[in-house]
Amino acid sequence: MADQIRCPMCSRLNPADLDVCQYCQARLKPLIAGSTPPVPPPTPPSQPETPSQNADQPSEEAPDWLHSLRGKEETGASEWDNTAESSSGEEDIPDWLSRIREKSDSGPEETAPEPPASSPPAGNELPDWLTGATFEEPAQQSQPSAPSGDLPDWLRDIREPDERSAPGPAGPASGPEEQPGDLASGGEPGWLEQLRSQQMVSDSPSAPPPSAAFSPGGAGENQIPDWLQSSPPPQPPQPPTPAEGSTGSEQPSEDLPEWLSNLMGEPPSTSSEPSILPWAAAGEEPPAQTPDFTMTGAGQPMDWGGAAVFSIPEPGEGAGSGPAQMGQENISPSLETPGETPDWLSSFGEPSPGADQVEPDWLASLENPPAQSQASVPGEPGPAVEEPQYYASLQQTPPAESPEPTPDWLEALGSDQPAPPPASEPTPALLFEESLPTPPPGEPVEPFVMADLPDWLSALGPAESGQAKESGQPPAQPSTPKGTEPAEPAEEAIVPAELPSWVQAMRPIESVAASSAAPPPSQETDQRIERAGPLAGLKGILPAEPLVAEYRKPPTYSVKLQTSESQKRYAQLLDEMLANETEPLAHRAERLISSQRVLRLVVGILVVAAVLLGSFYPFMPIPSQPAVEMSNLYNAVEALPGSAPVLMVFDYEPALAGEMESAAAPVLDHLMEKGARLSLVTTSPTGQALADRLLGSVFTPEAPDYQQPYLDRQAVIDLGYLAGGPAGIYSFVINPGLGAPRWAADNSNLQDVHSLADYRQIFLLTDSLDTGRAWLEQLAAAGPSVPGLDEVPVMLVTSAQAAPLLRPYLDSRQADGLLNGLMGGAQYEQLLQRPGVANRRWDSFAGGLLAAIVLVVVGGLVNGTLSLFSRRKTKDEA
Amino acid sequence: MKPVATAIAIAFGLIVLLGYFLPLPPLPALRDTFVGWAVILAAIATLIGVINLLAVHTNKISLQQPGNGYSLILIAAFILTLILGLWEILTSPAAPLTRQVVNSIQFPVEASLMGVLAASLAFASIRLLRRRRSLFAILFFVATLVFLVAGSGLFGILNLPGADYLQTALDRLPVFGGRGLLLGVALGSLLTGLRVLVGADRPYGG
Repeated sequence: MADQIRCPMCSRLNPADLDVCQYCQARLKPLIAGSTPPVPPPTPPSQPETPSQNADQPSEEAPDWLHSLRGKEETGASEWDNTAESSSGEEDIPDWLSRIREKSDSGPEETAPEPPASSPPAGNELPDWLTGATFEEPAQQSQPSAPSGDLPDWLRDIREPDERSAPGPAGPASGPEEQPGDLASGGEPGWLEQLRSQQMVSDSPSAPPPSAAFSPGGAGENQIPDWLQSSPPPQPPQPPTPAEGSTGSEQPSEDLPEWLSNLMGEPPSTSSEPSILPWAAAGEEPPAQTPDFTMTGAGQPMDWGGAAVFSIPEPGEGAGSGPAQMGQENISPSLETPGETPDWLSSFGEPSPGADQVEPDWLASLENPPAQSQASVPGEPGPAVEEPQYYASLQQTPPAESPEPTPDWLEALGSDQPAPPPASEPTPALLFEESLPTPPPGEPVEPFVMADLPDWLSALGPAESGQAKESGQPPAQPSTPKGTEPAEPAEEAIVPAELPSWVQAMRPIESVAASSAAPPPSQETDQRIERAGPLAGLKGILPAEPLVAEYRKPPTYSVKLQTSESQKRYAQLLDEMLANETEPLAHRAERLISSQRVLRLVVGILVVAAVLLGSFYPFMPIPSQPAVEMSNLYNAVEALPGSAPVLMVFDYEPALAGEMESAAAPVLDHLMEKGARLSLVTTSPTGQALADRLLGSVFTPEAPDYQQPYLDRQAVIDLGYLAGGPAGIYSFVINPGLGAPRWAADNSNLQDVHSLADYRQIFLLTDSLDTGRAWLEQLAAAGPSVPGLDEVPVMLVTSAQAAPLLRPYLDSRQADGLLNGLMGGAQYEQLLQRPGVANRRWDSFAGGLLAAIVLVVVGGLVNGTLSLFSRRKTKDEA
Repeated sequence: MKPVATAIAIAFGLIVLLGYFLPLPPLPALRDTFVGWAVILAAIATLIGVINLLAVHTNKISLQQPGNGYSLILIAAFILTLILGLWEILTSPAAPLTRQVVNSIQFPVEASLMGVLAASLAFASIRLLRRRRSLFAILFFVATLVFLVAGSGLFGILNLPGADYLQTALDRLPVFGGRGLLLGVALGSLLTGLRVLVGADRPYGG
């Protein structure tokens, strides 16, 4: 840190050898004169010492402001921060001081003092003599601004005359806007008084020895320091405008240095006569805004880059040279052309090439202990004394951090300081609003100069706060009270985490779009203007109304499935594949005349022809060996006594009436031959009609097939239709009178029949398994309820399709006889030896059956062979 | 209402079933009574079925749906037959006209359909090997031929040795399948009845 200097403007560190900040082109090593209290003449130092030497050896008697001049190399405080501390110790003679000495030796030359080479510029520190006891309230004009123990004797002496002298009218109250060095005390400092008095005495820069006011321990009254009474103030670059509260429009004294005259607002004069500040000359309060010493004669801020420059005599110049002496003789503001840095200012901070420079007594007295300073004769050139601490502090590297809180006026001074001028020309340390550098275009203008601002305050720049708002991050921490540690620097702000690509890919697009479209709540909160409550119109505050009351349309999330192009393509391909599976094959419309239609027609014709041929030409013999069950049936009917009651159930459909009539006719004929009394019942709606059809074909007297006497149709009792299916059958079996509506007890044919057990036989004529099963099962179930019903034989007359299904009942003895289809009827007729309907239909039936067999065999073989060749052809083609 | 219907069905079914197995005095009488009621309800259900048939075809005619012409013929025939039958009952118990309608219309129509079925089965048998050439298709084809030959009486005509036994065997062969069918039908009927008794099946809409 010792090799670096902190810029008072931008608070950036610069090498120690620079005079101008490399960032903002501000003066790093300011030299401020005029606003400081008169310092005692430095004693010529015996040896040039480094500012660091004895810097940490505070003397009990060394004033604090002197210690502060030696400064804080380590902390790098700004020029305006080092006000309260003082450090004792020998320091190297600054160049400017050496130049002052040279001037004193060479003559009233306006030379800029060259700071010692070894000593770092202490431009960032405000020497105590600039910011010391003179910075007092107007109400305290009469009071010493600093404890008497902290001030050098010469300063104290100066003040005493100041106190004794009538203070001028109270100027504007000094505030934080006052710049350091501003003589806001309201009272005229003693050195200024001395200046005023001296100007009356001396007329040339090489004035008599400085006034005692500036000599250490001296009690010079109204003595203008030599360094103030040097060359006249430089010419101000801007047209003079009277400063606020400034009364510098008054004509300065001709005896004032030029630079001092410029401060008072008058055009610089070539006269090198020392001059005092206009307000000082007028005995008025200094302007509140800016110190007069920094103001030109026209009342404009002094442009240290090329305006008023006052040359400080080098230390050791002149006998008993003090500030006043130096100012009178050697120190004179050189009116340089605008843009040119005064020599004393430009060379400030540079090590003085000369090492054998004589330090003014007053300067030396400042460095030495009070004993030493007291020992020196005020006004007399003493040995090389140590440089005042304030000189050394001007050359030292300002500490990085000020351990003491920055006074308000100092901060305000920094806020009022404009940006340093461009880098084309060096700028003095003290800059006013007009001379402050302007920020680059595009960057936000900071209201405060970031010089020596606390970290927390520096971090919360306008640019940074704006960036935080844009990014949705919470703003930086609010400003903390002065002197407190910053909570968190700007660089440590939480950086939003970067989501990996795979996490970002998982985020729903809608939510990302919604979040990117809408500002984050924190940002909304920050930008939201409160419209209710006492804080209406403010931003960035907690809402007065609960957020629940604020309705906001919830974000809508799409339910659509987000798929990529490749996924869509694959899904479409799969859909096509599935659709092809479910699509039926294209069916070619059949032609009106096709092979299949022809074949079907041929088959029909052949079958019909065979049937007709058989009806005209019997060719098929009837099997002579009847089946056993059919023989049993024949035997049972043959064993019937005459006029035996027989129940016949007609439960077949008209579709199979031809086969059933062919099978039932011979049985009926045999029953008629036996003179049985027939009772007819049916569970089919068409049963009665079919029964009547059958009886009509048989009971026809004119029937040529039957030659037996037939019974009268009156002998056949039709019991009607049994409804309810199996339930009806069961009801009829249990109580025939209840089940059959036509059951009549007074029927002569059924007088001896009271239940089904009274029938001698039961014939079941059916063509389906259901009806046959129903009758057989209900007859078996009602057996226990109807005594003797188990003794009644049950005969089955069925079609060829139902016979295999009903044969199990025959095997289980639930049925006693079975006659199967047309062939069974034909065989029964052979047993009766009475050819009848069955015989006539047997040849047609056989012919048609043989034709079907031939067609099936031939056609099957042909088609099978054709299909084999077609598959082979398909395989060969494939 | 549904639980009431289910309870009634279960109760009546259990009484009738118990009446079959337990010859206790009230049970057989109740059984017979309930069966009589079932017969009446079955008759009424048949009549309702006929009425529903008329309603469907009438709606089909009113909506002019495809095939409404056949519905018109059906309704006309029904009405004619109904009128004829009611008249014959009142005038002539023998009902010759009704019998004539049956003999002239219903019997020929159904017989003709049965003849067409026989021809279609023969034609399908001819094309069987061309459409499906599998073991079961060939087996069915051979079985068809055998039974057609057996039913035609050729074995008896030829007087081949063992023809009678072959005929008897062929006649007995379907019985085995028939017995299996009968057992399956019996078991199915038993399970259906039990489902109704326990309320698992509610064909009555309960």
